[in-house]
Parts: sequence; structure tokens; C-alpha cells
Amino acid sequence: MRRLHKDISPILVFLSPAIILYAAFFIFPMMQAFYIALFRWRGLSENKDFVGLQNFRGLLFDDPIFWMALKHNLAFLVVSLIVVIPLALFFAFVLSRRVAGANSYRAVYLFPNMISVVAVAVLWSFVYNVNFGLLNAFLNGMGLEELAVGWLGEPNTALPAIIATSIWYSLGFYVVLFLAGIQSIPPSFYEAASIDGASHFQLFRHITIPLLWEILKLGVVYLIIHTLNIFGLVWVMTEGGPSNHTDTMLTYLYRLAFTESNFGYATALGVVVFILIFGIALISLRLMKREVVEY
Amino acid sequence: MGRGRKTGGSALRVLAALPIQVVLIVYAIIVVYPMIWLLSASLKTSYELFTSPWLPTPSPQWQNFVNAWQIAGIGRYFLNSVFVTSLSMFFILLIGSMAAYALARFVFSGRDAIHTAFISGMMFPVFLGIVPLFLLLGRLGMLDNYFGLITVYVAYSLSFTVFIMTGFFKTLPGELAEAGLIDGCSQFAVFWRIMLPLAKPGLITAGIFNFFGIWNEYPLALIIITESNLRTLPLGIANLLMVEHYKTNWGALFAGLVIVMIPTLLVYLFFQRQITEGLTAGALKG
Repeated sequence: MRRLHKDISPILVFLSPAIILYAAFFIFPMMQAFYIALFRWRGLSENKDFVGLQNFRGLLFDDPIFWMALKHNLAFLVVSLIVVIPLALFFAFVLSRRVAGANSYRAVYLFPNMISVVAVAVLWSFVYNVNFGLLNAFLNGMGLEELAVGWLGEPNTALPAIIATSIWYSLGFYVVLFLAGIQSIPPSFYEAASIDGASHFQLFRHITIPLLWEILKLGVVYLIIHTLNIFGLVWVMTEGGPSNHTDTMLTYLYRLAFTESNFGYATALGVVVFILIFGIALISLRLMKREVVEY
Repeated sequence: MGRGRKTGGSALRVLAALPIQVVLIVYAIIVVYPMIWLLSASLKTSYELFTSPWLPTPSPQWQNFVNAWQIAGIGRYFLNSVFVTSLSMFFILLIGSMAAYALARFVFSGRDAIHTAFISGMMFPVFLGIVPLFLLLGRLGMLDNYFGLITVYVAYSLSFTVFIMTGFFKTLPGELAEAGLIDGCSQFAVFWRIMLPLAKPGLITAGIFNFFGIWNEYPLALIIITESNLRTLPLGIANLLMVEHYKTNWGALFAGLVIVMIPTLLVYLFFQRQITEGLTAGALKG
């Protein structure tokens, strides 16, 4: 039934609205970014000077804020790798083992991921508020008054506070992802191993992990994409402050472009973020390379 | 820990599961408690907020919700978001499934290239093209109006929608379309009356994820909309946080946040199954 269609007019009618919108407002700006990144271009004037790779050179060799921002993104990434992946794996494994209330737990854990990051950011700004915040109320209640600070206003606590929020926001997504992966492993594997007397830990170590490996890699790639692209949470909670202590690459990009109108330089930063995401994802896939277990 | 299903009585298993249940409940509390606290805070006066952050208030201030809706502008932002989200979703689903239908059902030269171009869009981060997009919209007079915002939302959602819908249309039997054509239907009538209704589960999945994507969307709205009357909910609530720092009408802000989260909660509860399946379907097939 799938024959080559001679009359392409219906095909054109079906496809052209999508192609036109997608090409004009998605592909074109994405491609143009690689070109605009080569110009020095300030303000909305038409005066742009071709400067080649100078914007990139400036970013990499002459811009401490960029390096600070990159470090903060890497902090998001590393802490998430250490906390989110193992915790999500643990929850997914436990929830897959017929624990009472498994479906309700899954539903509760996933919910933060469905809320707007702006709402999450505002909610947690309240939690961290120095005067009426939940966190300080808790610390005061425990008799730890000296620990109660203005979490988002202090250079030392602001970034960890936002990273904790991002973990609260995203953990459920990884639980659901891994849980679905575990559930697609045939139960007979577990049953056979149980009969042979394998403990829960052995089941996890020798059945779940190898058979889940591809999904685990996918989870790591998602984590890289999410943490290097972090913007809304930081922008709403601190705008990158106090004095750049929570700036990420994208909050810096936003300020460069839309408060300083430094378009060429900001776009170069966008290209750098894109390349970093790709590079780090490829490296981690290489590091996680293993023989695929077919089943 | 319990040794599987064969050994031990059920009492023993329950006992063994106890530490696990404790861990699960602790994390559930970490997730839920801030929201319960928010709900209780939204009914307090600013004074109570500072003096008794833990206890529920004896006299709920429902007025906070009226203030949030009317004075703080949440009502307007809410309706703006309803308008933008529903119109965007209508066009995304229509245009996206038309394209997906053509890509799934017809064989023509360039088909694979077009399909790949759509799918690979999911790799590009929003911010890569944000400056060129901003300049383009400025030149076309599409900044600070819904025409621009909705057009951008549709364009940015096509990758994902075409991906989901193409997969779906491929599973539908082509004979049905052939039969419709033989009966004298036009190609568009076949699509609209026969194939699209059959693709309803796909439309629901694509619809749910586009709903969350657009209802929650922040960075694109931030660069496109500056006029305060046009703000969507995420813009409005973010702005309120900054403004309320100076006005200290906290109760209304808490109430506003509750209002923001209610539609999300309702859609989430209603489409729970589709959401969990949809989140992972792409991943597991890939």
C-alpha cells in the first residue's frame, strides 16, 4: 500500500504549514546563531563588525564571569550525578519490588516535575526566606537558631540552596524513567535468581544494573542537558546573585543579550553552551560504554 | 529483608518492608510538605506568617485569594495563560499531526530528510537561537503580542509533536485511508474524518506534554512579552515575587502561587497514567 505518490499536492498541503513555521522560527534562528556569534554587535543598530572567533576567545580567555557560571553549572551537574542518579535508582528498584503504595509514591515523587519551574522557584524562595521561611522555622524549632540564615542572600549558601531545589524538582522524573526501564526487564530473571538464593542487593547488582544500562546512560544524558541548560530556577530565585555567586551560563547569556544588548557575544556564549552539552554528553556516553546485554 | 515470595509469613514480610516504607514516606514528606505549608500560609495574615509559621491559622483569610486574583493580577495572568495555551495547543496539534500524517503515510522523495530535520530539532537548546529569534521577531513586529508568542510556541513544539504523531500514524492501517479515498473522500477529509479520530491516543499524549510545556513556559515568554497586561502566569508570578518584596502583601502572593498550581495538579491527577507512560515511551523505544 505504501507506493510512491505521483500527485504531491496533498503532501504539500499537509506539510507546508509545519515546514514554513519550523524553518522560519526554529531552524533559521538556530543556524543564524553560528553566524551572529562571529560579530561584535551591540544594541539594535545595524552596525555589526565581523570579528571572527574573537567573541569565543574573549569568553574562554578573558571572562571570569563565564568561568564562574560554567563552574556553577558543573556543580549542578556533579551534585545531581552523585545524588539524583543513585537515589532515583534506589527508589525505582524499591518501587518495582511490589512495595505497598508503589503507585502512589511514584505519583507523588513525579509531581514537582510537572509544576512550572517559576512556581517551584517562588515556592522555594518562600521556604528559604529569612523571616518566615519553612527552613528557618524548622531550624529554630530544633534549637539551631545560629544556622538560620538568609539562604538565598548569602554567597556561600545561595548556590547549594538552588541546587537542592533543582534536585527536589527533577528527582521524580528519573525515578519514573528508571522504574519503567526496570519494569521492562522480564520478571522471570528475578524469579530464577531468587530461587537460586540471591539477595535483593545481588538482584540489583547483577540483574537490574546490567539490564538497565542503556536507560541509565539516557538518564545521565538527560541530566547533562538539564543541568547545563538551567535558567528559570536561578533567574527567579536570585537573578544570578548575590554578585554572580549563582550565575549559570544561561542567566549570564540572558543578561548579556537582554539587559546589555551585547548580541554577538551572548550568541557566542549560546554556541559554547551547545557545544559543551554535546561534548560532555559524548564523553560520558564513551565512559559508560559497555557491552549491551540482549534479552 | 524478606526473601522473595516463597519464604516467610506475611507478618515477617511486612516487618521487613518497614525500613523501606520509612524511607519512602520520608521522601514523600519532603516533596509534599512545602506544598502543604504553602496552602496553610496562603490563608494567613502577614502578621501570622511571621509569628507562627508552623501552625494552621484559626481564622482563614480567604480574602488573600480575592486579593491575589483581583489586585495582584493573577486573574488576568491566568486568563492570558488559558488563551495562549489553548490557542497554541490547537495549532500545534493541527499543524503537527498534518505534517506527521504526510510523513507517515505518503512515500515521496525527501521524506526521510524532512522527518530527520523535524526530529533533530529536539537536540537544540532553546537558548542557542534566542538572540536571532528575538531580532527576527522584532523586525516582523511580533514582539510583545500573542501573535508572536503563539507562533514561536507552535514552531518550538513541532519537533516533539511530529515525533510522537508520526510514530502513531505509522501504527494505523493504511487500508482505512484507501477505503475512504475509494468512497470519494478528498485526502483532507480522509485525514480529518478517518485518520485523526483514530489517532486520538497519540493526540492526548502530545496534547498533555504540550500543555505542560506551554502552560509552564518561561524563557521565551520572558523575551517576547514585556507589556504587563499580556503577561502569562509564569511571568506574572515571577514578577509578583520581585514586586511583593517591597509591598509585603505576602498572603496574596502565597494564594497566587496556590492558584498557579491548581490546574497543573488537576491535569496531573486526571492524566496520571498517560503522563507516566508518555514520559518513558520515547525513551524505552529509542
